[in-house]
Amino acid sequence: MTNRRPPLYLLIPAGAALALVLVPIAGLLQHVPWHTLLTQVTSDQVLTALRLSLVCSVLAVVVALVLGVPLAWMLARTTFPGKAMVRAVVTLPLVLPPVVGGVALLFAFGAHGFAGEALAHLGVTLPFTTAGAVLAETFVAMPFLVIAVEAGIRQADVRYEEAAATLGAGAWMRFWRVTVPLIAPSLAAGAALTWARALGEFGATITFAGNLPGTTQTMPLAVYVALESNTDGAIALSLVLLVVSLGILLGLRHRWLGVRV
Amino acid sequence: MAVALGAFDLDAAITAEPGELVAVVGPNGAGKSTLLRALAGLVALRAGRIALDGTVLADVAARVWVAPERRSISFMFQDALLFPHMSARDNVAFGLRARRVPRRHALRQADVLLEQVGIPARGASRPATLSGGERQRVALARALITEPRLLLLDEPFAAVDASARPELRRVLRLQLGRYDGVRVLVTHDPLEAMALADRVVVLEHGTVAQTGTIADVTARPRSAWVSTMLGLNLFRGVAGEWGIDVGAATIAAVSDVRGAAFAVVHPRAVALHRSRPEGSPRNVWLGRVESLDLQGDRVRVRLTGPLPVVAEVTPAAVADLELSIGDEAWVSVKATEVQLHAA
Amino acid sequence: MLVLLATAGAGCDNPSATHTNGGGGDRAADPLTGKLTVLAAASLTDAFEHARTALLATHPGLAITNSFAGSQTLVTQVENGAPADVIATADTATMQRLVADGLVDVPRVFARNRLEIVVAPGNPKHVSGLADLGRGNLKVVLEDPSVPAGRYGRQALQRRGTTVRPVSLPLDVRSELLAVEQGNADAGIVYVTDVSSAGAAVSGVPIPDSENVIATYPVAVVRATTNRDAAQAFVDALLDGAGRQALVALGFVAP
Repeated sequence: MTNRRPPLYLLIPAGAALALVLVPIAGLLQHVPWHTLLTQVTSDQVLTALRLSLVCSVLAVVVALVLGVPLAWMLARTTFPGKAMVRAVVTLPLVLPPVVGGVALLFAFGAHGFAGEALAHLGVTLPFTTAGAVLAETFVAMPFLVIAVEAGIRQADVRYEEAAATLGAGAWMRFWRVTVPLIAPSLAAGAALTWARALGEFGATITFAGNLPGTTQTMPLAVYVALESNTDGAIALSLVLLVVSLGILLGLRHRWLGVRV
Repeated sequence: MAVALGAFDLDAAITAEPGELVAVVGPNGAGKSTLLRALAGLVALRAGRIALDGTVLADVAARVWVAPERRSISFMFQDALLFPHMSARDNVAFGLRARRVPRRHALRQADVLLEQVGIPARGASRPATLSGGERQRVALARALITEPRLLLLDEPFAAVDASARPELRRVLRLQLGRYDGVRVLVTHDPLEAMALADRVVVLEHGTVAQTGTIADVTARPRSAWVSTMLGLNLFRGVAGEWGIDVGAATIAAVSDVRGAAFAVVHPRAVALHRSRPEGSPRNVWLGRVESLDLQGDRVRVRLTGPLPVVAEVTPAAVADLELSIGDEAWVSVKATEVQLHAA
Repeated sequence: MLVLLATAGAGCDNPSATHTNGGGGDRAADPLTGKLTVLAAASLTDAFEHARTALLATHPGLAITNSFAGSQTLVTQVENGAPADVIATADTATMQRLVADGLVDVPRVFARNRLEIVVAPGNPKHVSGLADLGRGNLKVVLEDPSVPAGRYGRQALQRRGTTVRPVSLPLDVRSELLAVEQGNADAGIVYVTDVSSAGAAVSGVPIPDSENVIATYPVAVVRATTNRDAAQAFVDALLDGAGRQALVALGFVAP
């Protein structure tokens, strides 16, 4: 039944859905200054923003992995009181407007926030720093990782871990040599989505981390700022972001769908 | 060395000696797998105690609990459960690696075991490319490499082709011969139980219904299930064209099986006569009635003689034949009723 | 719907020629109705809310929507056809883009503003002037150069000869105020009106006129407006006596 030609009554709304996404992208492509594209893309401002974005987004993924995988494990394999609440809280950043997230981070980690004051005693300041940008990106992107990995762990047969235990493997060995390889696909998919989300984060970053080229002006911020003074630069940056996102999604398609396209 | 326990949802007391293979049998849902999992430490006890070689693995009253990874056990699962992302060799070596054995040494040991179980060439293959029988061989090697004091086998050959089972049983017996821990085997295949077990524990509805040697249980089954599943006549011998030579006699049989084999004769296929029967049955001999047991609407008659055998007849037949203990009776079994299985 | 109301408004009105301009006198015209969309630079928030209230008092049937954002964002929106009737920016250069494209009527300067240094209440870091902003241990925020306030601020610093390494370049004045209020930054350069509107949450350090930059605020009627009468009325209200008083009260300088 899956190889039939698409019927007309489905083709029309489906076509409209596709157009909804394609038309703005086409609008963008139409204005790309192809003749100056190379100089734009290699200009200082763009390269700085690009490098910063890559560093911050990758760090965000690392933090999300280190913190999110144990959390996903607990949600998938253990029971404890308030588990449903924990899961809701962890996925909250998904529905929270990013600016709201940024404001919340500001009030918590800012100079007058309870967490900010505590950190200040240790000599750590987060607002207007690259670390702050990483925190903002992690905040909005980590839920993707937790959700993907939790689903993966749930699907993984717990009996493999039992088998490993009967063979004498302790918890650490079981985790690294059995669980992680078994959930590798969902781990990779979760990490890729997290990275894409972190890369594109704007509202939380600008509200909490601020806007300073080289320190906190990530690509989305640079696009926004460039929109006025350097439209060509903005479009060039947008194109770069578009290509990167497309690349991630194409690379993911097998995982995402679980079938051959 | 003994294993004793009382367990969760399942109330059983079982002991086993080293080198002994105890088969745990019973209807589905009786708790056989739960028993094994409790012994492995994969399931908590609600009450009771497990001791192995004098070491207490679990004791609810004394709050002792040893995690599965620290028990000297190995588990062979029905679906092998080989780690899909590792080669056969890495799977086998896993237990040694868990004990911090250096990689190279562990892999070499794994190769040795793979050869012992008969698949030396398959070390580099992933489990997905192995046949069911090959997978269970790897699982066996994996379980034995750590020389566990207690080996648990959960219906290891149930998922394998019936035709591959005899060979696997042979491999298992061979390996078990090299190894002297306690073995507990769960099976629903009476033939397997009879072929491998020294003692049998019958588990029904979470409690032990009967224990004893195969012979005991076969002769005096205490429940309909046992008599149906286990109460078969089993002889071991060498099969040839004419039938099977079981030492004391040759049983005529019709079969393609050759070499080491089992002969299975259902008690219902055993006919009893007051005088020597004429007619088609090829297997006829004189026996003496040793016991008569009424089982529901059947009577199980145990006879000694050149071939000890159990017959199942109606009470009316017993009355007709005026059979009583000590009497002689002629036994006949048609050759076509003798099933041969490769050993 | 919008078109209908506008036509009705136009029908009910006397011709716009009878509207008086300036002098806080009576308006002989019938009350205006319809919708009015006003785009204004963020630093005009208080001023334009005030103007809106004043206009509603005489024309209660008018539905006025004020939309505040950075001047550059507003101009981009109008350039791309966003529906607006009136636009006011924080400098003439930004407005000039619309003039050059023929998108607005002739702009009029309705207010001026001066710069001021904003610090935490009580000035705990003892900032005395522009020169102090170059101190190494001071966390300074400046508007991004794409925003008029940012350009003005840099102008003033350049004239004074001070080099500043900001910790962030906020994209609007409200964010900058928030940073100083929250203690994440020690000082910033904003408009005088912003400091006074923030009240007790911040303190201000005046910049002497000799070092200061005067910001000019132009307002213009968008040519594509669908409610020309109301748009014009809004502009007039900014420029007349009452409007001027209100602006001065907020700290603006009369044009």
